[in-house]
Amino acid sequence: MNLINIEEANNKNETDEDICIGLDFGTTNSVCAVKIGKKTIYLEDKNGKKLIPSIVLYDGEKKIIGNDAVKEKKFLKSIFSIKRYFNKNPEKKVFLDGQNINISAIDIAKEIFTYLKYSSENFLKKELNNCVLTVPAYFDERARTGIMKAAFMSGLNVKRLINEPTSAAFAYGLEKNKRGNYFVYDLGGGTFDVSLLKLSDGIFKVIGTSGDPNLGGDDFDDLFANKLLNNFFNLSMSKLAEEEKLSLIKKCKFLKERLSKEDEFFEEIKVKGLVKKIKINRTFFNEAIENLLDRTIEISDNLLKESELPVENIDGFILVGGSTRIKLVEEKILKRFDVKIFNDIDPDLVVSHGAALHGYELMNGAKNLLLDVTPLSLGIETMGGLMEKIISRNTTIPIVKEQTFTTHENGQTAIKITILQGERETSKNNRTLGKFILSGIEPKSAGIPRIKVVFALDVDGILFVSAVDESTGEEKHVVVKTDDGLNIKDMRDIVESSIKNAKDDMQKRMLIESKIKAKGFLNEIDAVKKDIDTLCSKKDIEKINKFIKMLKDELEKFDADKINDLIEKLNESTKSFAQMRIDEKFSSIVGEKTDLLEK
Amino acid sequence: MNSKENCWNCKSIVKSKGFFCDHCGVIQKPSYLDEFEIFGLKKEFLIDLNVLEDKYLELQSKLHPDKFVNSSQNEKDFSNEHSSRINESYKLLKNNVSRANIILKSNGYDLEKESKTFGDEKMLEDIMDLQSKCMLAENEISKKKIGNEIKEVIDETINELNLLFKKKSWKEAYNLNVKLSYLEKMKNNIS
Repeated sequence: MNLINIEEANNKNETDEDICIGLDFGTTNSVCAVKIGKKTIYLEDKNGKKLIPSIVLYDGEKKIIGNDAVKEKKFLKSIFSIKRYFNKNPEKKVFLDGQNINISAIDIAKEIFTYLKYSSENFLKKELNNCVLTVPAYFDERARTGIMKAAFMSGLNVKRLINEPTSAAFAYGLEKNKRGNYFVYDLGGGTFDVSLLKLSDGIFKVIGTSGDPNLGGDDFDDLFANKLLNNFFNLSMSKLAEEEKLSLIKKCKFLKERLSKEDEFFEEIKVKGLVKKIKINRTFFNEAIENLLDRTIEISDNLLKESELPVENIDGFILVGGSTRIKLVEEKILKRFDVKIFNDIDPDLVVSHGAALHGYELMNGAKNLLLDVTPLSLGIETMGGLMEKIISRNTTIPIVKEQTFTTHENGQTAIKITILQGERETSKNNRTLGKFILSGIEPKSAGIPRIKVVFALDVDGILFVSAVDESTGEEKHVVVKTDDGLNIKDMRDIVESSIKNAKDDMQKRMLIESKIKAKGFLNEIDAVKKDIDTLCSKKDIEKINKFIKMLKDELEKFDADKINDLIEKLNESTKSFAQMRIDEKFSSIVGEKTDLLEK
Repeated sequence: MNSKENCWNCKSIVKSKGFFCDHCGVIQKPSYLDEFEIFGLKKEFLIDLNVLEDKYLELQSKLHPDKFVNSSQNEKDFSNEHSSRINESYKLLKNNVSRANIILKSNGYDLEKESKTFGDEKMLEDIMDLQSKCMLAENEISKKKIGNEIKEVIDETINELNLLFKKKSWKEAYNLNVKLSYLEKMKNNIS
């Protein structure tokens, strides 16, 4: 890598603030790339590696990340594949750090982002604040918001969230001059995405996307280990202690990678003190994973059918993601589709490459138009537990849609709005993204009120929902938000102002963290303000209001310590209220008739 | 509707339906345009889909939020609104049924308000007939055959609909468009 070139390119009016890195946060590895001047480079860590394992080893107060963690004796005690938890509940504090404090997937991802930022800055010898962050195309709202949040908390200003397969196609379009209809098959460590794109001069349009957010290389390792254990040791995985299980799975991951270069080899495997020399070959491995690969082919086939584009009109399959190195992937694709296959840009690096190119365009005036779609339908729950779609899948974003609903019962004064995401008919089979109550509806006969629900999906794929009672003008906004009540817009504002006003990285991060905490807390209090006013003594209310005002004022400034101090004080002053609220089992909609919506 | 507006940025008078200020070139707050107006198309049932696509991409190339990443919050918001509206309108105009609905709605026939029943018995019979053929189709060959048949009926219906629109026979066009919507659904279900 020639750093001098970069410096030269940098002379022409490009300042550090204009730099925007492309960041591919993977299940197994993360990669950062950047385009400066005319060159795109991958950012290496201090070990000279481009692939940075997405793992965190908590050791007391220390956090060891990436390739440094791999070198550690306690390596197997690291937290692996954290990206997979974003599909479940990224906010839930189900992990422990080195000091036995409960932390969430977002907290762990934040450490990885912090490390990536730090190590990229070291490599480039420049301060880096902006990034284009990639996410699996099939990730839902909650996972997207969670990943974005983790990046914001590390002090990175996420300029745009783009889908991984789209990013890869962008790289092929710009670097390899691909034009036509391309199908991106992206099989990573934890997720599987497919996207169909039309690439033309200056325009990259996604026609459709599909996938499985829980299918990837990790699953192949598990299946491989299972089969080995079964066939050669006559054991099942449940018979192994946690650490031995993990060690065998990691060994299988290594063997899997070796199989993409060699057909067959011998390997010594030790299980429960028993050592066996085993012949490992591709057929054995293929049998273990074949069912899952067939599923990826089915998903690909369905997307093609849905798009009504005959296979003859597809100019090629672009292979992305480390798991496409498995020989059987290519064989399966060729057998089913008879198409040209492209993998000449390293499948581990191509996503970050595309993101770097897009980041460059965003900062320097976008010449190429990127039109992406939403992977999953969005809607709300109506009577009978059904989902009413408002934005259907594969709709080009950004998009705003509204629909009018009415009440189900006579005299109904409040409406519960449940936001759903997914393709199933019934709401319980889809994911619930959030709930809110629109109250203050004028009591009228069922079917008379008109409630307008607006869904706005922005270009990052983040959803904003609002509802208005058209007769009274009562309005409720909801952003599909993380548990602390903070939305992406608030977070972006905090990050942008902190980057401008803090002296160094450390200060910046502390400021961002405190402000996010404070803003979230204020939102929480705001949501229960009515209850505070009815339940608390006048003296308490005055005190609470005073601290709210002080904290709000402090949020306009840039002193993390003062903010933290006020959060503490506000927390203390609302403690008795919190207790009362639990005692009363208070419900904010007492006395109001709440029911679901009727179409 | 001959209102003159001022550019929010430079205060000079702008054409009320422009996306950008003629004077300072800054993106303008979206003013209400119907789906056809956005793309500068005549409000006709049959449109050239290639022209629509070209126009769509041309507008998005100028107004998409990616072009406004480093602009002021106002400009970002306007771009987001324009881009969302353009995406939505493009989707509606691309589809025959929703395009017909836009024209019908502007002439007082709203699909959401009117009942979705058939105006005449003959139409209902035609649909039922095709529907039962669809249900009976079991293998790929017979599915393909019935699929082609539906496509033919759709083409005929579109021609008929076009004539009705030209004659401004809104009521009849409305009824025929209901039929078209059922046909399109059937086509999607069989393929």
